[in-house]
Amino acid sequence: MKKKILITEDDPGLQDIFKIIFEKAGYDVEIISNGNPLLKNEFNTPHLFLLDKQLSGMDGIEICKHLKKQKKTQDIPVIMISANPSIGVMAEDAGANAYIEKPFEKNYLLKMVEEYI
Amino acid sequence: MDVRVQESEERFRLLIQNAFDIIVIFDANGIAKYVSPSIKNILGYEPAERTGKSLLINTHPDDRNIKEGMFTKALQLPGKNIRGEFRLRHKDESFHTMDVVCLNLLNDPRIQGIVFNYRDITDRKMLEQQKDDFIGIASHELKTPVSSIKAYAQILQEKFVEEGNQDSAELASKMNGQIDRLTTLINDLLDFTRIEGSGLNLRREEYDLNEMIKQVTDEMQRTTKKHKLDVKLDKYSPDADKITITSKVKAGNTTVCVEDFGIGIAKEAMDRIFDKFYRVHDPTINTFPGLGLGLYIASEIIKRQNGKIWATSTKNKGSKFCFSLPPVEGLGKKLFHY
Repeated sequence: MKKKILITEDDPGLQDIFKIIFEKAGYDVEIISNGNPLLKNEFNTPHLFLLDKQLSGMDGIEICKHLKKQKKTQDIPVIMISANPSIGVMAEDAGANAYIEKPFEKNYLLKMVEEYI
Repeated sequence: MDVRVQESEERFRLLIQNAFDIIVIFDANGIAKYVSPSIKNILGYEPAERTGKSLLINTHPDDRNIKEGMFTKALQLPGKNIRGEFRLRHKDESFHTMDVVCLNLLNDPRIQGIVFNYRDITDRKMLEQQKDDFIGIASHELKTPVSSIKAYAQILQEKFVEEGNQDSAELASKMNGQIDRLTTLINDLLDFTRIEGSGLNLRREEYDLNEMIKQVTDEMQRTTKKHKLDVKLDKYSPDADKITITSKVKAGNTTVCVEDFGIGIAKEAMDRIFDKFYRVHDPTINTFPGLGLGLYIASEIIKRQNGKIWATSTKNKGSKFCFSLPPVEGLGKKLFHY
């Protein structure tokens, strides 16, 4: 049974890339471009969340905090991704399990997902 | 004779009264004896409102130690120009940033005071802040398309390898290398604006230094096959393949050194390598361009933690860069993390 990753990313280029990378690695991938479904609890529960910090109109950090507060999702690993060099500190404060900076090494991202999923 | 002196006095009075800068003369106790008329245009006060008042009355609370320091230094060094920057309150309650020079002329019978010259640089500071903010935003925005390009290059490389097309795989790999270089330039720009602007936020946290060094070098190693250990130094040691990183603790101070065996640095350049924007120019050697920010950024980070940073080098033999950080009170080996 394939493991499922729910990715929140609003940049079309990266959406495309994540789909290619993760489907090739054998994961089931769902991509949403804004955090609303997550805040409203309207999503299919995945095995891992990959969350971009910068989403149109909202801060991925807030979404991470929300996910970590809900009983339904608090045990599902969250990896935050951002071009902001302070993401490490922010992700830790928000309760994320891990973080990765943009631009990233493809294999490093894959290894991280493999480790946490 | 008297008429000429009078005319001369009139002339200088007119010059002072019409100057753009504010000129204030304080006595040795820090009370303002004379305040020039331009204070009205610049800070909204009548000279009479400030005459007879003391040194710090209008100074921003966070900057009072700066002005006080300048005054004290001026008292100790008569005749020497002391320069500083601090904020003064405008009559409308806003604060204006002033570029200030003061001069101790207590011993000059004609002045008998400490002269302060204030230049309003509020607009200039705002423009600088806007520029820095813009560079910060631009660097951040650049990273997203660069991330896509990098990922595509890596996916392509993998595809070519799978198809057995080594030549194309090699090209894709080189592309990836250039993207890493681009990323470094963008990161340097971003770090630079954070240092210049509101300053770096230092966060007090305990961590294992050796573990961090290992993590950083692992990350770097992933980006170079040729060199053992650090891709950033690749620029300056293309022919030497070893880079050594050491850490040690001595008398409470923690020292980390990075040594390469590449092109080295000329003796004349050593004084300036930590300067902002400085890049060594040597026409005889194929040096690699960058922004001249790397060492400057490193030195600012270390300095703000009260540490020291230095380098030694021998042309054509290699260079060694070291920094040391003092112990944090009561915390043993703990260090600041940014």
